[in-house]
Amino acid sequence: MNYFMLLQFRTFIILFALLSIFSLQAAEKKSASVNSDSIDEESLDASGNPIKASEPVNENLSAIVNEAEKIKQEIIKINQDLYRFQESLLYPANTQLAIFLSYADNSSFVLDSIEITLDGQMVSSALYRETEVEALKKGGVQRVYLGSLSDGKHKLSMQFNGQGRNDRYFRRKKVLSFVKEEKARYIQLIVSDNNSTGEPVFKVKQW
Amino acid sequence: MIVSLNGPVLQFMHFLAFSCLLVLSLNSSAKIHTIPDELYNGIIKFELNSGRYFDALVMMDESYQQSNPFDYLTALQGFNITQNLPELIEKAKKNKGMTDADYYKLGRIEYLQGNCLPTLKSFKKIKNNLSLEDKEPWAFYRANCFIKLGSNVRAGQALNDVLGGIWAAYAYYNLAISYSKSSRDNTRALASLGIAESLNTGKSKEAKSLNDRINLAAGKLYLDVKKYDSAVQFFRKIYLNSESTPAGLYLNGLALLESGDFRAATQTWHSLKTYPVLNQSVAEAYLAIPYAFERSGYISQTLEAYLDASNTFEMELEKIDKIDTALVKHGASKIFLEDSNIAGLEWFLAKDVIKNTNQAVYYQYLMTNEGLYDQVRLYSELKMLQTSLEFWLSQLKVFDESLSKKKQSYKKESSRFDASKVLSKINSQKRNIDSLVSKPEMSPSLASNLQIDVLKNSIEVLKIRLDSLQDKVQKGGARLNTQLLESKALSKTIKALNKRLSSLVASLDDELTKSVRKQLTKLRTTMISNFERSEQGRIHLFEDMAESKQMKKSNLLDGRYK
Repeated sequence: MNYFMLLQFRTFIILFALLSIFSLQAAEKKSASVNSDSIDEESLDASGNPIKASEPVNENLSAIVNEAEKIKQEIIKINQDLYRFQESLLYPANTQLAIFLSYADNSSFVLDSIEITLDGQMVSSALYRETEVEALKKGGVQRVYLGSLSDGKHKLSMQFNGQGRNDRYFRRKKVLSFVKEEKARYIQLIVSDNNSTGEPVFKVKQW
Repeated sequence: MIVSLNGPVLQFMHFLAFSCLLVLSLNSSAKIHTIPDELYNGIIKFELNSGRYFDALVMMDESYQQSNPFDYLTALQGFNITQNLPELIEKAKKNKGMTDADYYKLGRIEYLQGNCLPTLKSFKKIKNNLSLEDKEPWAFYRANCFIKLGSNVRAGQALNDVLGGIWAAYAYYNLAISYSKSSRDNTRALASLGIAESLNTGKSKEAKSLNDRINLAAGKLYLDVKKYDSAVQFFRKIYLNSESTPAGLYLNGLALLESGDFRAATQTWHSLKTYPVLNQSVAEAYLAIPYAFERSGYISQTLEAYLDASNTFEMELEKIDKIDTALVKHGASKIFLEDSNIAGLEWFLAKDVIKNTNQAVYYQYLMTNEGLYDQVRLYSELKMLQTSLEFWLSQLKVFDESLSKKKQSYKKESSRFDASKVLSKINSQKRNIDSLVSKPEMSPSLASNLQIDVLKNSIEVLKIRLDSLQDKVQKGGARLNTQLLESKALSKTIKALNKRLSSLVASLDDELTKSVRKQLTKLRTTMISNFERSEQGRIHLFEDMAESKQMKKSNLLDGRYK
């Protein structure tokens, strides 16, 4: 009994050794199956996307691209005409009220949202993305409201929400009473920082 | 003395009047805005810097285009109207008095057009007066151009002055990749990656994604030189929800395997099974698991793992075939770009934006092809234009109805308006004021208290308003007709444009479908190759087992055991 057990054990050891040798050989044969070359790093463009070589030119696609460019230009032109037409129809120069928003050079205020109320009625609201705040800080001006208004006294109220210096949250309100006469009225709101306190200040410029 | 206008004098006067009219009409067509220039220029700046190039182009009148040619070119480039760009750039370059900001804009346009030499030439003319926020991208564009032109040294020099920020981090990352491709010695590449990491201190999603790429690249460089422990340290820094995760996990497993830790390697690769197999790193992990088992001597697990891999690849192949059939039937836009409820494509119906839905996975995979990306971008631009035209069409319909109603009621309303009656009322009020003023009791102080001057002035204002109203009433009918005609003409143009646009979108969809199918064919080839590798592995294993059984038999026949 012991002899048979010993015999079985020795056979098992030999078999195991042989199997191990063969499996190692097989592993060497198939070493290409574990592949690190398929993972390539790529250079990135300005938006963080990989820079890749362009595909060969497809003539059908080129024709489509050319036609698309023509149509784009025509649509830009017709949009200009349409805006002008809409403006003349809905907001004639003598009844027009337009409200603009801009940043002063020094402002560090990060605008989250604004709400504009005219004579007690909310007429416009906007939420701001990072790119829009950056665009304002780079000297951009946003038209936040365009409408028609009768002559006479009116009350404009604007509420600003956002983060000032040191990530402090601010909610500020600016109220403006004005008289609309028989010509277009342009009101510009300028986001600025108070030099001494660093808190956001909103100035109004009337054109 | 009376001067008679005859012959040449009259002709000259006609010519002068005609010239004035021409200049006026040209001006009115060139400058369409009515708001103050400062606000108008600011609005365009806002649209441009927010990346809304279409809106910027719509806002720009000819006068603005001429006085700010580089803003115009930036918008054209941004909205992919690039056919005439080279000519327009040449024309704009001839402008005298170009500022540093102009040279920066020009350099950026050239860079985005892929023209490195003109980019560097334009940037060279900037006399160190760039704003801080422009300085970082300026250095990035220059460094990338030097890399493209084959000079890593100049690229490094271009980045010397940059102190920080994500742009500089991107640039150093690109430099590292360039170093690793051009030299076997990866010291410089690793150093550049180190700088990139130290500059990239932001917490944004973009900054995290870049950090993952940096860690992946550094780990891979260490793996290449067989420094497995260092490689693993970098791979472990990669976030689990990043686009670099599959590659990071796969290579991490490889580094662990090479350092002898089969168990950890297999575990790492197992964790990759939750990622889409379209990613070749995931496919490689499926094939690497049986390999690791085999090296550890677990034969039954090896067989199971090969079977699992083959099944996964087979299932993906079925999915690819299903998508291909759907593409032929419905087109790429319906399958990938628009909301659609296509029966039978149950795996497409998930409309949420979860990253691991089949639609999202395939969409992401396809978008890695630059050509396809450009086509999809064009498709979305054209769709946006179509939406804009449809919006205007509905607006014009409303205007048309309102104008028609106004026209109908106009005659009735205007006939009710009796200017002479109003004028007589105003005159009567004027007389009342005059009689009040002429009373002996009216002292200057009383007149002042009663605001007599204001009242008199109001009467004059009322007269002026009445004149203006009379004029409007007289011209109103004709004006309404003109507006109606204009509205109809605009509708007609929009309808014609929309028709052209629809046929263009359909053609683009056909091309897009062809391109997607082409890309899927490539994917199918890769997946078949993966499947074959898995099957071959299984066959090799069976062969090895068969061979070992034969050995066993020969051993049993060995004389020593008889």
